Amino acid sequence: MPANPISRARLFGSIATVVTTLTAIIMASLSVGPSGLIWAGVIATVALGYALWSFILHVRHPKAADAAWDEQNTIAHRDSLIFGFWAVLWVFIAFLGLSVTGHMDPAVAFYWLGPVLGAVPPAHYVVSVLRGRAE
Amino acid sequence: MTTKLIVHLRAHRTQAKLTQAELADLVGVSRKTINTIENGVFTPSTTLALTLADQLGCSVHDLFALPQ
Repeated sequence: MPANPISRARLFGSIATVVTTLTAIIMASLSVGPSGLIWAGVIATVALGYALWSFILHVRHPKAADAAWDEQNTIAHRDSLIFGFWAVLWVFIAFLGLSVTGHMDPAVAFYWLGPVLGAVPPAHYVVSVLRGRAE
Repeated sequence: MTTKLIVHLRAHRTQAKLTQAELADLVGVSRKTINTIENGVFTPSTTLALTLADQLGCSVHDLFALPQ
């Protein structure tokens, strides 16, 4: 576990975002649990809670924030955003195909692009941490 | 070009009696970054290489070398 409070918050915030989004996708695809709108609220609460927590830590620990965003972590973060871009592009194409062929409601496809856009970069970042390429 | 660097950072750090965390604190990076540089996983920027050399009282050529 990272000793740096910013890195620790980033790791746990990323894990929380990914786990919540995956849970929402699995539950929704199985038609179990609350509606998609409630899941959207849950995902947003987790993501905004992480953002607020991270902001407070950045203000309270500016030196730790500099170390947490050093060049290696910045590169890992940039790679996560690039991966997220391509993931969303491919998911968009897949959803477009499903919508055009009548296998998916366009409104549902549009709705689920949001969680993918939000959860893929943190998922990639968590993998980078697990591979020892970031903190 | 993807030439793997030969890294002598660990030797110079231990010679200076510093832990990875202490050196990381001195140069303003995370401990993981020092760890990955020492293991040859991450190649630092010129700025960070110069800062590391400065903190350890040696030259960048003492810390990093190209394979012969």
